[in-house]
Amino acid sequence: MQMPAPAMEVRALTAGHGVRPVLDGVDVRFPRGGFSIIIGPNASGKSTLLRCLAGLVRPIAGEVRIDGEDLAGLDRRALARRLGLLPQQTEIPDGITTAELVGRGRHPHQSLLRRWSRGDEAAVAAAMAATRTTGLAERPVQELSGGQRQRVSIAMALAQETDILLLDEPTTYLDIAHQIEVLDLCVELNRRGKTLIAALHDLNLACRYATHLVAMRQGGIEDMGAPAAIVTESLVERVFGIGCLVLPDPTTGRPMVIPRGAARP
Amino acid sequence: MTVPEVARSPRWFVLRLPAERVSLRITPRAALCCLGLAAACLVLAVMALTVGTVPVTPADAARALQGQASADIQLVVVQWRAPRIAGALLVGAALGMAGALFQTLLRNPLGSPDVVGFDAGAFGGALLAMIAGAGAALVACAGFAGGLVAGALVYGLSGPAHGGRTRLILTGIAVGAFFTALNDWVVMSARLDTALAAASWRLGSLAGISGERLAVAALLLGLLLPLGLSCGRDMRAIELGDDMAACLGVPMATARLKLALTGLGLTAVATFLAGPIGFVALIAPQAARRLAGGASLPLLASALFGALFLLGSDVAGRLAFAPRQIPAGALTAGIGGLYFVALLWSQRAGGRPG
Repeated sequence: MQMPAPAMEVRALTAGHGVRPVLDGVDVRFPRGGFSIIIGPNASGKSTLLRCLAGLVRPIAGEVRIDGEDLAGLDRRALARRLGLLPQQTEIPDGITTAELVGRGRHPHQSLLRRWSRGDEAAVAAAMAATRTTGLAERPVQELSGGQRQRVSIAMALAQETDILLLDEPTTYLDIAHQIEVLDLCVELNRRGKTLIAALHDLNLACRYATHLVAMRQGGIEDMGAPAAIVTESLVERVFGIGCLVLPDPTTGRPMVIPRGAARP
Repeated sequence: MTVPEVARSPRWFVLRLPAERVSLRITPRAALCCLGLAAACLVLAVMALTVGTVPVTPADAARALQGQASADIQLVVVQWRAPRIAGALLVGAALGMAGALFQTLLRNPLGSPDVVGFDAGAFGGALLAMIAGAGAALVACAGFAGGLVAGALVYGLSGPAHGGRTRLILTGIAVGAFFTALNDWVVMSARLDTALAAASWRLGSLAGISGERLAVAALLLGLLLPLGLSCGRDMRAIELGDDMAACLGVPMATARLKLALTGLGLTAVATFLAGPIGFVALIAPQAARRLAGGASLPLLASALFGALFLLGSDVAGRLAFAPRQIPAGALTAGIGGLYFVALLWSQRAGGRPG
C-alpha cells in the first residue's frame, strides 16, 4: 500500500544536551491531515521531540523533515509560515488585549513597512471566530480564565496561517471541562485540514482524540499507529510500567485504559 | 485604488498605501504621546537657552543662534547653553532607547544597562582611552569596547542562556560594581589635571561638553537611533518568550545580538558624551509605556521621554541651587532612587511588576 507523504518526519534523530542524548536514533512519520499525539511518561523525550519538530532544538544526528524538506535548510521566517507552535506556557505581556495578542501571530507575514495589511486583518478575524474569542477582543488577556486564555493562544497560532500546528501539553493547568473544550477545538481544526501534532500527558484523552498515536519510552519510540491498533495492556505496561485493563470506550469504541493500582471497591 | 486608505478600528488607525506595499497601524494615544513629548522637549530646550545666571530673552537667543547677537550673549547661548542642551537631548534619547531594548531583551524592568553594569564598563573603556590621550573618535570606540567587555563578562559569568534572567541581572550588578571600583581607582591614580576632568565626567555631567565630542556623538546616534527603531518589530515577538519568538519567525541568535549591540552602542555613546548617567535607561521605558498605553515598551516614546527627563534634570540641577550646579547624573540618580523604591514597593504589594 502506498503511504501518503507525511507532513513531518524525523529520521535517525538523536538530540538533547549533555552526554546522554534525550532522543536516540528516533524514526517517526506524522501523517498529513492527521491529529498525531505523542504520549509517554515524564522524561521520555516527548517534549524534546516536539521541540526538534519546531526547530528549537538542533539535532545531534539525523534529520527533521517538513513536507519532505530538511528543516535545517529553512530559515526561521520561512518555517514560521509553515509551522506554528503552541508552547506549554506563553509569556503574556502585561496589559495586552486579546486582539493585539492574536495579531502578533501575523509576525512572519509582515515586514518593516507592511505591518497591518487586509490579509492580516482577515486572518486575525478568522482565527478569533474559529476559537470563539471574537467577543474577548478588547479584554486584557491576563483577566481571562485559563480556558479562555488557551483559546486565545490557539487563535494566535491560527492567525499565523500554517498548515501544521504543534501543541505542547495544551491541556496542562486546565480543568476537565476546559480540557475537553480545547481538544474538541483541535478536532474541529483538524477536520478543516490542519495537521496537528501534540504532546499529551493523559493517555485516555490521547486515545479518544488522536488519529495517530506515538508512544515513547526512554528516548525511543515504543510503538505508533491508530489508537485502536496499538493500545494494549502490554503497551501500557511497557511504556508506563503499570498494570491496567484496556476496554472499549462506550462512547467512541476506542481503547480506554483503566489502571489497576491498589484501589479496591 | 490610487489613494491611501485610512481604516478605523476601536483601538487604532490603519494607514495603507495603494497595492498594500505599505500598511501601518497607528494607536492614537501612542502617537499623541510621542508628539506631546517632542513638543515638551522643544519648549524645555527654548527655556533652557534663556534661563540661568545670565537671563536671555527668546528673541536674543534666536539671534545668537544665527550669529547676530552681542559677543557675551553669543558666548552664553552658543558656547555654553546650546551644546549642553543638545547633549542632554542626545544622551537622554540614547539612554531611553537603550533601556527599552535591554529591558525587552531581558524581559525584566531591572534589566537596564545602568543596572547591569554596561555603562560602568563603557565608561571604563572611555576613561582609559582619555587618560592615554586619545582623540574623541577613539575615546568613543574605547567606550563601546568597554561596554562589550562588560556585556561579555555578564553573559559569560551568568552561565547558559536558559540559566534564568534574574541570575544575569545579579551578575550584571556585580560586574557593574567591579567596573565602578576600577574606574574610581583609575581616576584616583591619574595625573592631577586628567583626574580633575575625569572626576566631573564620572559624576555624569553635561557641563563643558566639547563641540568635537558632540559632533562625533551626533553622527553615531544618527546611525544607532534608527537601527534601534528597526528592532521594534522583533521586540514585539521577543516579549512573548524566546520559543514563541523563534516560532513566529525571529532568528533569535541574530536578533539578540542585534538588540544587544545596538543597546550597547547607544549606552557607549551616551557615556562617552556625559559619563555614566544612571536611572534614565531604567525609568524612561516604563514611564513611556505608561504614557503611551499598550503592553510593550515603546522605543520612540522611551527615547523622547529619556531626552525630556535628562534635559529637565540638567536644567533643574543648573537652577535649583544657582549659582552652585548639581550634575544631571546626581539628579537623575536622586529621582531614580525614589522610583526604585516605588517599584520594589509595588512588587512587594503584589502589584503589577514594572
